[in-house]
Order: sequence, then C-alpha cells, then structure tokens
Amino acid sequence: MITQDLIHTAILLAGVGQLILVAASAVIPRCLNWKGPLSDLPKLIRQLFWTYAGYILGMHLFFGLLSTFGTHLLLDGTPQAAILCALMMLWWTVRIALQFFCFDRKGIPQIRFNVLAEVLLVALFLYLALTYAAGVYLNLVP
Amino acid sequence: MAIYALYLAGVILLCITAANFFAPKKMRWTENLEKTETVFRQVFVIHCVFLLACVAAMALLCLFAPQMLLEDGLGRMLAGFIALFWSARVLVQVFYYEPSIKRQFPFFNVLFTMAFIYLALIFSAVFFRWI
Repeated sequence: MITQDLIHTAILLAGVGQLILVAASAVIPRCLNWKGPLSDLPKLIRQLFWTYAGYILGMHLFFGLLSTFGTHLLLDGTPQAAILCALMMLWWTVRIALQFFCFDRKGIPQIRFNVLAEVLLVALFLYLALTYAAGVYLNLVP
Repeated sequence: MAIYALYLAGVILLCITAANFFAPKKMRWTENLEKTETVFRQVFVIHCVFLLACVAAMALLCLFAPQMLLEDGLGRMLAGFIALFWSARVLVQVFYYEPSIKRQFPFFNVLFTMAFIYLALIFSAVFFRWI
C-alpha cells in the first residue's frame, strides 16, 4: 500500500515534471541558437524539422497531462496502463542513451546555464524512466 | 464495425511507417542536411525516429489489440490523443507545407492527405463512440 501511494505520487510528480519540460522547451531554440542553422536549410526540411519538433512536444504534453490528471488510470492494473507506462519508460530510457551516446554536444556553447540545464534535464529523464519502470512493475505485479 | 475500421487504420499506419523509409532518399535528406550543423542533423533524425516508432506502435496496437482502444478509461484517452495527432497532421499537410513542394509530388500528396483524414476520422469516431 505504501509502495502504491509512493509510486502514485512519483507518477504525479513525473507528470508535473514533463509539463515543466514542455514549458521550458519554448526557450530551447533561443538558448541553442537554432535560427541561424535553420535558415541554411531548404524550406521543406525546415518545415519538416518544425513539424517533428512540434509532434515531440505534443507527445511530452500528452505524457505530462496523462500522468498529472490520470495518475490513477496509469496504475489501474489494466494492460493499457502497463503498455503506456512501458512506452514512457522506454521513451525516456532511449532519451538518456541518446544524450550520452549519440548527440554531438560540441556544437552547444558550454556556458554555465547550458551545463546546469543539461544536468537538470538528464536528472529529470532518469527520474522519469525509473518512475515509469515502477509503474510497469506495479501494473504487472498485483 | 469499429474493429474492422481499426484494422484498416493499422494497415494504413504500417504503410505510412514503411513509406518513411523511402522518404529520406526521395527528398534528398542527406544532401540537404549536410548544409547544417551536426547537432541539428542529429536532432532532426532523432525526432524522426521517435515519431516513426510512435506511428509503428499505433499500427501494432490497431492490428493486434484494437479492442483496447474501444474500452473506457485509458483506451478512450489514447484514442482521443491519436485522433488529435492525425487531425493536426491533416492541418499541417493542408495549411503548413509549402504548396510548391506538394505540387512536386501530387500523387503522394493526395494519397497521404486521404490517409491522414481517414485516421483522424476513425480515431475521432472511436473516441466519441460514433461507431
């Protein structure tokens, strides 16, 4: 029971964290100076880039809203709940792996703000991956 | 009726997933993305892969567990989200993408627009319990 309450609260906080991430994403293009490199691209690629970015933001918003306002649904022991928790766990685990093994961070200015932002982001991704893993566990083990 | 409509949606989603493996070559992504910084190229490709995985997951859900979307609670919420996802895609296709680019691929433009409209309608119908 204590575990269930703890995971319930953790998922609620994960939802709030993702909603904050969505809000913070609005400043990412300015912080990473996207405007310059984007203008070098052909219009189609530029439009695709913004469409994809918008959809990723939409996914994060969905995860955030679902976890904040539908926490009980994500822990109701149904296959849907287990699948969605697994999807979000996988999503954030892959995101952590990409941060360390894929992204070329040399292009990002290493100012104090960016370093702090990266530490906070990775900590959030880790928290999200672990929380949804706990959600999967709770849905599968009665 | 709803189950068969979702099976068809699953097939369409699989076709969209498959088409995305050919799009980079058709639109000369490698050549175009070479003009920009590495980090940009990586963000673009990663966003694309994540979205492709989402579309593939939707396809698998429709083909192997469509009844999950017909249940109340999370199933209905998921159907509502997928309906929004594809409704937005219709709007992007019709109003955002440059007309001159769409004129270069008229057949694919019509085909994909129709597919997106079907998906938006079916998932909306499932969400609102019209079918």
